[in-house]
Amino acid sequence: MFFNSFEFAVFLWVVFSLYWLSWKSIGRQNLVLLLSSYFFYGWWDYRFVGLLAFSSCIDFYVGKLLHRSRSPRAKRYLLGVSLLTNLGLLGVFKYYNFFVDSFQAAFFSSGQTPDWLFIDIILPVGISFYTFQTLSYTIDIYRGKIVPTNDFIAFGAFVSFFPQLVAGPIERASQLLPQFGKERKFEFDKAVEGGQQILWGLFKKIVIADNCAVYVDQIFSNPSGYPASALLLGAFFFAFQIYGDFSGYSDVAIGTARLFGFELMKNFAFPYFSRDMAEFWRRWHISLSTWFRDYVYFPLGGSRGTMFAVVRNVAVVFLVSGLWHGANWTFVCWGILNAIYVLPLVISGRNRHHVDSIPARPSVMDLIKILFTFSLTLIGWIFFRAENVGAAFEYLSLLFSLSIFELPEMSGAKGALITLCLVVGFVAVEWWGRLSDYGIQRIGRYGWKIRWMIYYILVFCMLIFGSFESNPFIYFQF
Amino acid sequence: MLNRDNIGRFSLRLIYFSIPIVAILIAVNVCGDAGGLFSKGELEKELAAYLNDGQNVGNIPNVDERLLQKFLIKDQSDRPDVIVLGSSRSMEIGAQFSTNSIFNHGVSGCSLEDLIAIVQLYRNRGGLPGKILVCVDPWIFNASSGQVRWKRLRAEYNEFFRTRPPVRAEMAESWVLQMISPSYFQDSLKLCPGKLFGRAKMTTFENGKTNRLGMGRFFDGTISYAASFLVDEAEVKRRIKRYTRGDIYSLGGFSDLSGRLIDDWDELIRSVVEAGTIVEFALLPYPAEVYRIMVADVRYAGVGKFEKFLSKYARSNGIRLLGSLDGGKFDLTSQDFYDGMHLRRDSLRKVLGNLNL
Repeated sequence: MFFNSFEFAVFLWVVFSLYWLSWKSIGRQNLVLLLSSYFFYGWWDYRFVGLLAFSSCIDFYVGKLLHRSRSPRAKRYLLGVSLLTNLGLLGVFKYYNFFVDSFQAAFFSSGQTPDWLFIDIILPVGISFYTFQTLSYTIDIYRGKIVPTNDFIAFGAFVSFFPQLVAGPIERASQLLPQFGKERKFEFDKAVEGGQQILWGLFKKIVIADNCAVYVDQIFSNPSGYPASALLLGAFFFAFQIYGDFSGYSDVAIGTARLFGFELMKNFAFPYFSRDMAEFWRRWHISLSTWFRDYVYFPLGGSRGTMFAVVRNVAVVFLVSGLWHGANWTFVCWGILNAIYVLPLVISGRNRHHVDSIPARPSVMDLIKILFTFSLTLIGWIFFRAENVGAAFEYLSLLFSLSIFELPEMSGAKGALITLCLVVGFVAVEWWGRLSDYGIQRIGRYGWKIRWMIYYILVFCMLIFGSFESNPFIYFQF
Repeated sequence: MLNRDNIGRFSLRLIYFSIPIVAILIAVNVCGDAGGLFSKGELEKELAAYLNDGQNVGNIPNVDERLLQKFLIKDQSDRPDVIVLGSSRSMEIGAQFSTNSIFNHGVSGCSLEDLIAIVQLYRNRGGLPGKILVCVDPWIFNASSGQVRWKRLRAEYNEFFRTRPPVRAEMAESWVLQMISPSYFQDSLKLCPGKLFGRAKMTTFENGKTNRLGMGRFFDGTISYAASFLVDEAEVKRRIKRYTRGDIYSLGGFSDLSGRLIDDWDELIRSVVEAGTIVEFALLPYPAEVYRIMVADVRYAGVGKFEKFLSKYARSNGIRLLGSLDGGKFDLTSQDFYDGMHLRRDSLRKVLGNLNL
C-alpha cells in the first residue's frame, strides 16, 4: 500500500492504536510492529514475505554464531554466509536477467542465446533496502561494533519495520536496533513533529513529484519531438520528481516512525543547495552513501594510499552505487558520471570544503556554485531516467541545440506552467527551512494558529494540485 | 510508557484538524458533483426535454452524456429513422446527412460498451431505428484505452449480455467513497462556481442562428462547439503538433486488437442486423501527420490491425464502410480540423461524400 493511499491511513491508525494500547510491554509492542510490518509487506506481494523472513532468520542466527565464535576463520566463514545469502538474493532477483542479457549482447548475435537462460523474475519490493540493513547488522557484529540481540521478535521488527522497509532510510543496527529494546514513551511534541514531517513528505510526493512526472513521462518518451527548451524543462522536472518522490517518502517514513517513538536517520539534507558534488553526496540519500562509505569505501582503503588506489576506491563505490539502483547500463553510466564529478575534488583534497551548512546570507559565489552543481546533477539525472544509454545520449545531444531559445511547446502547457510555479514555491520553502531537518520544521516556532494555517494550506494544495493517479514511489523499483 | 493525556490530546487535535478538511471535501464533491453521482440527473433531463422538443440549446454546463442518452431515448415521443453512434469525433454528423429524422447519440470517448448500452436503451424503449451509422474509433478494440465512463450505463450493458455474469460496480465507484475522494474533489471544484452562482444556465437558440452561448447541442443531437474551441489555423497546427506528444488519446498500449472486444463487437452488430436494422460504418480521419505517426509507431500497432479488421468485417458482412482514418486520402489540411482528432463540420462532406442516411 502506498503511503499516499486511503488504505495506508487506515492501516496506520489501526497499528498506532494497537501499539500504544500495548504500552505495558515492550515485547508486545515489538510484536505489534512485527506483525503489522509483515502485513504491510504482504500487502505489496504476499509471495515475498517468506523471503523477508528467510533473510531475517539467516542474519539473526549468523549474528549469534559470529559473536560466539572465537576463530577468525569461522567468523569470516559466517560473515561469508550472510553476505552470500543477502547479496545472492539481491543478485538473483535484481541482476540475473541483466547479466544474461549483457553477456548475450557482448558475445552472441541475437537469437543465439537460448531462451531458457532468461528467467521470469519479479523484483521483490524493498529487497535492496532490507538486505543492506541486515548486512549492516552482521558486518557490525563481525567488526565487534555491536553485540547480537537474543530477542528474535525485536530483530524481526528491526528488519521489517514498515515505515522504512520498502524505500529506506537504510538504518544501521547500531542506531535502530537498540530502540527496539528500550521503553518508548509517547511524546506529544515529537508526535506533532512526526505528523508535520508526514504532511510535508506527502506534499512533496503528491504535489511536486507526481505533477512533474506527467511532463517527464511525456518528454522522455519522445525527446526528438520537443525543442531543447522542453528537454531542459523535462530534465528539471525529473530532478524534482525524483527528489520530491524519494525525500518525500523518507519524510513520511521518519515522521511515521516518530509516531511510534522511534528516531530514524535523516536521509536528505537539501541536496540541491550543494555547492559541489562531494557535498551533494553528503546530502543525497545519506543512508545509502554512508553505507557504501562504511562498508565498501573504507574497507578498500578510502582516500588513503596511492592515487591509483583512491581513484579505484571512488570509482568502485560509485559504480556499485549506480548498480544498486537498477539493472540497467544507464545506472552504471550515472554512477560513473558521478565518479567523474567527485574524483577531481577527492584528488585535490577539496571534497570536504563544504561540510558546513549554507550560510544565512550566501555569497554570489555560493549561488553560482549551487547552480553549477545543480546543472551537473541534471546531466546525471538524464542517464538515470532514460530507457537506455542510447536514449540518454540522444537526449543530451538534442538538449544542446539552438532550440533551447524556443518556447517549450508541449501537451498541457498550462499545467506545466502551474507545476513550474509549484516547484519554484517549493524550492523557496526548502531554502527558508534549509537549516532544519525538513522544509517546514521551522514553523514550530510560530503559534498554533499560524501552524494550522500552514497545515491547511498544504492540505488544500494537495487536494487542488495533487495528482491522485496511482503513481508508485520511484525508489520502490530498487 | 503511555502518557494517556498526551495521546488523547494528540488524537483529539488530529480529529479537530481533519473535520474542516473532510467537511469541505464533502461539500465540494456534493455541490460540484462532477460525475452526477449525487444528482438525479435534473440537468440531463432538462436538456433531453429541449432536444426531444426539437430545440437547439446553448450554454450547456458539464452534463453526464451517458445519462443524457438515457433520458433522450426514454422520453422520445417518436423514434428517429436514423441514429448516429460514436465519439466526439462524429458528433457533428446529423441532419445535414439525412432527409429522414436523424439523431446523433455520440458520447465523448465512446467505447464499445457505450455502443452496446445505447443500442440496449433503444431495445428497452421498444425497438431499434431503421438505420444506424456507427462511427468507429480505433480505441474501441483497445483493452487498455482507459475508457470507463460507459459504466454509467452499466445496467444496460449488463442487460445486453444477459447470459454473462454482470459487471459489478467497483468499490471505488461507490458514492460514499466518492464523497471523500480527492480526485472527485478536483473535478467537482471546477464546477462549483457555475453551480453556486448560476452561470451555467441552458438557453435555446433558433435554427440558422450561430450559437454564441458556450457549448451547445443542435436539435439533431449534434454538437455546437464553444467559441473558445474554434481557433485560427496557426493554433490548430500547434494543437495537432501537441496531440502526438505523449500517448495519443486512448491509444496507449494498443499493440493488438482485444479478442474479447472483437467478440462483443460481433455480437452487437449481428444482433442489430438480425433485428432488421441497416448498419453502416464510418471511419473519420485524423490529420495526415497524426495518422503517419500512428501507423509508424509500434506503440499503436493496433491501429493498422484495426483498419484491416474493420475493412474485412464490413466486406464479409455486406456492410457499407465509409471514410478512412488517413486524412491524407481526402487531401485534408489543418484547416479541416479543430485539433489532432476532430474533423470540422464543414469538412465532413469531403469524407462522407453525398451520404444520405
